[in-house]
Amino acid sequence: MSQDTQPSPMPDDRGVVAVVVAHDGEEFLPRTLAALASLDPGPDFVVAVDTGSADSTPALLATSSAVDRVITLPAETGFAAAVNAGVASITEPSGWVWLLHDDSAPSPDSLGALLLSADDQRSVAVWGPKVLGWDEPRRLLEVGVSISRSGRRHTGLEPGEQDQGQYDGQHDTLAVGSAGLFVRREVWDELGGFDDALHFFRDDVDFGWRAHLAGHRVVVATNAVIHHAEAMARGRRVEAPRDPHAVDRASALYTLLANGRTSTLLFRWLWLLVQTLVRALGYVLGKAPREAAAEVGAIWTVLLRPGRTWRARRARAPGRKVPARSLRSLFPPPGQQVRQTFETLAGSLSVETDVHPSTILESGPVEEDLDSFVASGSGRLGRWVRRPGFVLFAGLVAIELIAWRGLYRGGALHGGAMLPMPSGASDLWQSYTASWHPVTLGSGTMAHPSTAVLAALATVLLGHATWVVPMVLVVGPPLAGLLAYQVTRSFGLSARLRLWVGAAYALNPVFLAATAQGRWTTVLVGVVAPLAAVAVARGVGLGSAGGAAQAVSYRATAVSVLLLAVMLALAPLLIVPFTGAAIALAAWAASRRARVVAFVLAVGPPVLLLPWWSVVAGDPAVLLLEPGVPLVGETLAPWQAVFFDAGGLWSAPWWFGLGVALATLVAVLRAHQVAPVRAALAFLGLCLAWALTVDAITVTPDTSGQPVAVWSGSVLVLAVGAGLVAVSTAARGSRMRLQRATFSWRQPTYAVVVGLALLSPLVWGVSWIERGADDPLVRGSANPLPAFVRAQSALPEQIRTLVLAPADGQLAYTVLRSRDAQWGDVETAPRVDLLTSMDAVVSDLASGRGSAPVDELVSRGVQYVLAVPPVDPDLEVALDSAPGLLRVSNPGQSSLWRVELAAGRVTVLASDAKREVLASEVPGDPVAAQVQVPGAETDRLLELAELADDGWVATGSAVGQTRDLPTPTVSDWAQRFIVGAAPTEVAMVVDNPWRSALLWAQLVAVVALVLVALPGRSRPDEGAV
Amino acid sequence: MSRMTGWARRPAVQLLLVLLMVTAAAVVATAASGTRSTPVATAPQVVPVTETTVACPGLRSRRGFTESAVAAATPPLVPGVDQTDAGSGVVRTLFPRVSREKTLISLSEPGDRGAYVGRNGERDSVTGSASGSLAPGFSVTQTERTVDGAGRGLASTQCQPTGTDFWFVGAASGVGQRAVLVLTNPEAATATVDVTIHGRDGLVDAPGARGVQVGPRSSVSVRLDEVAPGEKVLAVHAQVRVGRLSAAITETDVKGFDPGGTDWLPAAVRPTNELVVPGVPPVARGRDATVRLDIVAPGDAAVVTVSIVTPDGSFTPQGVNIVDVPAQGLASVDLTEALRGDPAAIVLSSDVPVTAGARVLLEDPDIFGDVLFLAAADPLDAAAVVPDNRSTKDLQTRLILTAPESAESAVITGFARGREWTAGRYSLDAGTTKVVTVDVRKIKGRRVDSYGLVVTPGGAGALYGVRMLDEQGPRGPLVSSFPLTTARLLAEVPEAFPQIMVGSAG
Repeated sequence: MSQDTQPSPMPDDRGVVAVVVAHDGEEFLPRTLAALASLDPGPDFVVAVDTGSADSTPALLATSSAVDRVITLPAETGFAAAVNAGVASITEPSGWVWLLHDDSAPSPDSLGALLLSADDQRSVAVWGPKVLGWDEPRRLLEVGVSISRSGRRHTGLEPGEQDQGQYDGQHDTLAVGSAGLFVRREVWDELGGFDDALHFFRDDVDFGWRAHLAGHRVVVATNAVIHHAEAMARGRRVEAPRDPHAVDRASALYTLLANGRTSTLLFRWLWLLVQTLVRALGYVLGKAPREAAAEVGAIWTVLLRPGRTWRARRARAPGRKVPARSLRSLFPPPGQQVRQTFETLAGSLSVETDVHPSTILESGPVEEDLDSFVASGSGRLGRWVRRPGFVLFAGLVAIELIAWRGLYRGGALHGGAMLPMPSGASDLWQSYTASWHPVTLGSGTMAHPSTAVLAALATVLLGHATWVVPMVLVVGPPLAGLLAYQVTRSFGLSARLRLWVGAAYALNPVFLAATAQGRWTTVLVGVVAPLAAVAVARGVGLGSAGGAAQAVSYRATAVSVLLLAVMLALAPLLIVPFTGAAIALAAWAASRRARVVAFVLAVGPPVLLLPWWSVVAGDPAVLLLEPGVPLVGETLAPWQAVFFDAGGLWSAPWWFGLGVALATLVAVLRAHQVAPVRAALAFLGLCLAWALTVDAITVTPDTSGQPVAVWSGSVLVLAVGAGLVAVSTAARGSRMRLQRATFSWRQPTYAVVVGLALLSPLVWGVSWIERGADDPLVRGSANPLPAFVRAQSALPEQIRTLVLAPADGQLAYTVLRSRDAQWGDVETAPRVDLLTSMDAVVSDLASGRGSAPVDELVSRGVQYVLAVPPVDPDLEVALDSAPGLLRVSNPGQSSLWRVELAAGRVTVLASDAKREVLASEVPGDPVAAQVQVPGAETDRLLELAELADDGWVATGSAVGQTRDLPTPTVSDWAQRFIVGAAPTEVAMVVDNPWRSALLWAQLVAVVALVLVALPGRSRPDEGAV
Repeated sequence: MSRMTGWARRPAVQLLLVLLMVTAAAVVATAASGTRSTPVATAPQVVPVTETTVACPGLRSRRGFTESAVAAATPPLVPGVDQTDAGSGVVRTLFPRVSREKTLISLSEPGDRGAYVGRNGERDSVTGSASGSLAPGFSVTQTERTVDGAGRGLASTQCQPTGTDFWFVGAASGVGQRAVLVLTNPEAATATVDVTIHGRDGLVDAPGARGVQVGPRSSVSVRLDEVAPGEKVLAVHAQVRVGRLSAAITETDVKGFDPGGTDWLPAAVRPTNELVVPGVPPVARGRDATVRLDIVAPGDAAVVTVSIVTPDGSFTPQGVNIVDVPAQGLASVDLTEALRGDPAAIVLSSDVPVTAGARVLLEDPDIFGDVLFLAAADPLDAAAVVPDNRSTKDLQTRLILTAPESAESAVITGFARGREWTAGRYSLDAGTTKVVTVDVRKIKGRRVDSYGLVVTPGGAGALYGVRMLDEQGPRGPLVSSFPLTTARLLAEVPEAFPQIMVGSAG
C-alpha cells in the first residue's frame, strides 16, 4: 500500500495486484496513470499489459512511476487474453486482483472502499465499483451489468442517467464491468480467468456468470467510483476490432449459449436464431447493411458452430456448483427490453425537434406536428392542445363532422362517383391482383391502380376497407389543412397567415365538390400534395426559404417518387402537370444531379404504375378519368375552372373562388421579387391550363361506352394549393410595404382583395356546414336485389340477375352476381364492344316483340330479371308478355321476373341443345370454377358464362387421367370447352402470367423505394468495454 | 426576366398580361367545349313483333240457345315483315295436359282469317298464339249470341294478351245481376291473383277474392255475386302476384223472369288523371237507351269533370259535369238525359288518378233489351285489328270513332278470302265523334258478310274507337261492343347499354 516506485515488499495474502491493459491509449493514459498514482490506499503491485501499441503508450507506461512491471503482447491479442496474461505474470502471492483499462481512472479512495467492503463480506468473491463518465463525471455508466435474453448488455440504467446517489449501497449483480473488476485471486484462478474465446465484449458478463455458477457472489460497492471513457465501444479508439458490431453479437450469442441452462439450450438456440434474423431484417429496413451482415455473421460464427459452444460448455462444466435456475433474479425481466426500446425511440423523437422545421420529412412523411415534442416532461398534452396547428385541425374536423351529419349510419356508403367498398383489405388486394373480375359477364381488365392505394390504406386501418373512404373524406381535408399549415412554415410566414392557408386549403371548393360527389381520390390527392411538394423540393435540393440551394437528397427523391406515384394512381390525368413541372425543374435545376433527380421524378411515378399501362394502351381515354362511376350530370362551363370551380353534380357557385383567384392575380405583382411566388404561379398556370383543356373535352371509355365529361378536380386542387402558396408568400411583409408607401389607389384595392380572400374560407365553411355532405353521397343498400334472390345467387349454381333501368329513352342494364357492385367494378367492367350481343338480348327482351330471348338469358346465367324504380309501365308490359318470363311476387318498389328455365354459371350442352346446370363452388374464389360433368354418350360442350378469353384454362380429370380441355374452333361470346363422354371433373381457372410478372415487378420496385425512403438508422450504441 | 424590355418588367404590365392570358385561355376552352357533341338519343328501332299470345275466357255453347264462336286473323298489310318466315298462328283449347289440347283454328299466312263455332256443351278456355310472319297484328275475338232464355243477348270480347294488372269498372252483383270474373292462365306455371273489389262506399271486403290460384293452362271463374253480393255497381282490380294471365268479366242480367241482356266488360285503362270512354252508341228510332257512367277512385277521393264529345262537337252536360268520387269508392252518373241518343265519347278529367267504365242498356219499349259495356280506353297508336265482323240484313258492324282533341283521320280496310279493300277513309274534326257503318262488299259476285277489319289512325293526336255489333232481332235489339286496341304489329326496340350502377346518375 505504498506509492513507491520501488517494487514493494511482497504483500501478505491480502495484497492487491492491479492489472492495467493498454492499447493505443495515449489520449487517456496520463489521467489513468495519475489516478493510479494518487490512489490511497494504492495497490501493492501494478502490472501494465501493452498489446502492441503504435503510439506513445509504451513510453508512457515505461516512464510512469505508478507501474511496477510492463508486459508487451502482440497487437492482435484480445482483451481477455491480455488480462489473463497480465494476471498470470503475477508470480507474487496476492489476495486480490484489480482489473483496470487504460481509459478508466479510479477515484483516490476507490480501492480502499473495495477492500473495506471485502473485509465485511468474505463470501463475496467479485466486487465492482460504480462506473461514471469520463468527460461527464455525473453520468452513470454502470452499477453492475447483466445480460438480456437477446444477449444485449444490460445495465438497468436509462440513457444519460445522472448519478444522484439513487443506486448507492451494495447490491448483488450478475457481473461487473472489467474496468474496476476486483476479484479474489484464488477465485480468478479457480475460474480460469476470462474466456479467451471472447475477444472483446461480454468477457466480464461471462466471468461474473461463471463466478455465480461456481457458487460465488458478485457485488457492486458504489462507494468505489471509477471514471471510464468506454473508448472502444464508442468507436473513439482507433484500433478497435474492425467490426465491433459483429464481434459484439458473436460474443453475446456465445455467452448466452455457453452459460445458459442445459435444459433450455435448444429452445434458446432457436430463439436466438429467429431473433437474430428479425434483427437482421430490421437493420436491412433501417438501411444499415453492415449491422445486418454482422447479425447474419453472428449466426454463422456462433449458432452454426455447435462445436464451439460444446467446448465452452464442457470447459465450464466442472465449475458449476449452483443450479442456473437460482440466478434468475439477476437477469432483466423480459419486458424490460421492449420498454427500453420504446423509451429510446421517444427520446430520439424529442431530440429531432431541434432540427430545422423543414426537415419534417426526416421523421417520415406522416409526422404531423413536430413542435409538440419540444417540451418534454409534464404538461406535454396541455401544450400540444393549445398549439395553433392542433386548434386548426380540431376546428376543421368539427366542421366536417357536422357536414357529415346525414351519413353516420345506415348501410354502405355510395352515391355519386362512389361505389360501395368491399368489406376487407384482402378483397381489395385480391381485386387488384386478380386476372379475372366477376363483373357483369366477367372481364380480364387490369384493376385501376387506385385500388392498390385503397388496399394499402385499408391494410393500415386493420383491414377495414369500408372505413377508408369516410376517413379520407372526413379527416382528409382537415389533415390537408394541417399539412398546408406545417409545410408553409418553411416559407417563413407568420402563424396567422399559415392558419389562413390551412383553413383555405382544407375548405377549398374543390374539396367540397369532391366530397359531395364521393370523389375520395381527389381529396386524397389534395392530402398527399403538400407532402409531395416538400419531398420534391428536398429531392431536387431547392432551398426552403430564400432559394438557397441544398444538397440533392436521394431519400427525399424516393419519397417523392412514391408520393407522386400514389397521386398518379388516384388521378392519372395528373401525369401532364407532373411531367411539365419536372421538365421545368430540370431546366432550372442548379446542378446536374438535380437534373437527374428531376428526370427520375418525371419517369419514376409512371414506371411504378407499369402493370396498368397495358390498360391505357388498350383505351387511352382512361388516362384522363379518375376511377369511379362516370358522372354525366351537369357539366361545367370551363371558364369556371379559373375560379377553382371543379363543376359536377354539386359544386359551390363559381364566385366562391373569386377572393382567392383575385388574390392570386395580385400575387403576380410580387412574382419578380420572390422566387416561391414565381414557382407557385408557374405551377398554378400549368395546372390551370391543363384543367381548362380537360374541361373542354369529353371522352368515351371502353368500359362504359358513354361519353363522360372529364373531372378536373384533382388538377384544380393542386392549382388551389399553388395559388395559396403564391398568395401567402406574396403577402409576407406586404402590410409594412403598403404602410411605408404613399397613399394611392393601391391601399384600398389591396384591402378589398385581402378582405375577400380572408373571407373565402369562412364562406366555404359555412356553406359546407349548411349543405351537408350527403346527396348524392348516401348510405344505404346499393344492391337492388330482393333478399331471396341474393341468397339464391350465392348458391353453387351461381345464378345472375339482369337489372334494368330506363335512361332517357334508352335502357341501362347490368348483370348482378351474388356480390354487390363494388369499388373497382367500373374500371374492370368488360369492354362494351364485347357486350353487344348482350345489348341485343336486352333490347329484344324489353321491346316486348314476343320472342323473348330466354335461351340467351339462360346461357348468360340469368335467372331473374329486375326492373328498378322508377319502373317504366311499357317495360313492365313488355316483360309481362315475354314468353318464358314469369312475374314473381316482390314486395319492394321494383318488379321482378323469373326465367322459367334453370340457369347457372356453368352448364353442359348436350347434342340436342339441352342445357344442364352444374353446381360449382370454390370457397373464397368467385372466379375459379370446379364442376363434376356427368357422363354421356358423346363429347359435349361445357359452357362457362364468362366472356371468352384466352386466359381461361380448364383441366379435366376423367378415368384417372388429367389433361387440359380443348376449346371449340367455332367461338361464341362465352368461354367453352369440349368435354369427353366419360364423367369428368373439370377445374377452370384464369391464368395471366404476364400480369403476375408485372405485378411482382411492381411490388419489388415499391419495396425497394420504400426501403430507400425509410428514415436512416442512427449508429448502434450498445456494449461497453 | 432580365431579358425583358423595360416596360414588360413593370409589375402592372405583367399583371395585365397574365389577366389577358387567363381570360383568353378560359374563353378558348369554353368555346371549344361548346362544340363538343352531345349524344343524340337515336330513335328506337321499330321491328315487327315475332310472337303474340292471347287468352280468351272461353267457349260456352248451348245448342238452341247460345252460339259461341272464336275468330282469329292476321292482317295482310304489315310492311317489313319477313314473309319467308312462315310462322304459325293457332287457336287452341287450354288443358292442363298439353296432349289433350285441341287446335281450333290454324292460320297459314298473313291475311288469313279463321273461325270456330263451338259445339253443344263445349266450355273450354281458349288461347291463341302466333309467331313469325303471322305474329304482327294477330288478333282473336270471341262472340256469343244467345237468342233466347235468361242469357239473351249479344256478347263479344277481344282476347287479351296475358298481363299482370287489370281494371274492370261497371259490373254489378245486385238482384238479377250475375257477374263472373274469368281468369285464364295459358302459362305452364301456376299464377296467383289478388282481386280487389271497390263498391260505392269503398273497398268491399271479399276474402274469397284474395290469393286466387290459377293452375297452369287452365282458368278459374270468380262469381262476383258470391264474393261481393248485393252491390249495385262494382269495380274490380285484378293484380297478378306470381305468373301472368288474362282476365275478363261477363255479366248477365235478368229482370224478374225477363232477360236483361249480357255482355263482356272490356278492361279499363290503369287509373290516371285524363280519361276517354269512347263508344256510346247511337240510339235508333224506336229504341230507348240508358247510359250510366261509373268512375272509381282507387286512392284518394276525386273530383272529376265530365264532358261529352258528340258528332256536333263537345259540350259539358249541365248538372252532371262535376262528379265527386269517394276515396276507394265508386260514383255513378246517369248521362241518358244529357246524351239524348247521340253517339258520343265521354271525356273525364280528375284531380287524382281514376278509371271509368259505362253501361249502356238498349231496349225496344215493351220487349227485351240488351246491355253493352264501355271502358276508359287507350288511344290508337297504330292500326287496330278486328278479325270477325258481320254485315247482314239485321246485323250491322259499326265503328264509333272519336277525336277528342285534334282533327284526326282513319282508314278502314277490310280483308276476307285473301282479298283486301278500303272500306272507307274518314276524317274527324277536333272534338267530334263519328259513327261508321261498314259497307258490305261483293267479292267475285258473292256478298261478303263476314270479314276482318283494320282501322288505321291517320292524325298526329289521339283517336279512340269502339267496334259495335248491332242486331235488330225479332224480340228486341242484340248489341255488343269492345274498344279498338292497338294491335301488336310493331315493337320499339330500346337501345340497351351496360351500366355498373343502374339507375345512378351516370
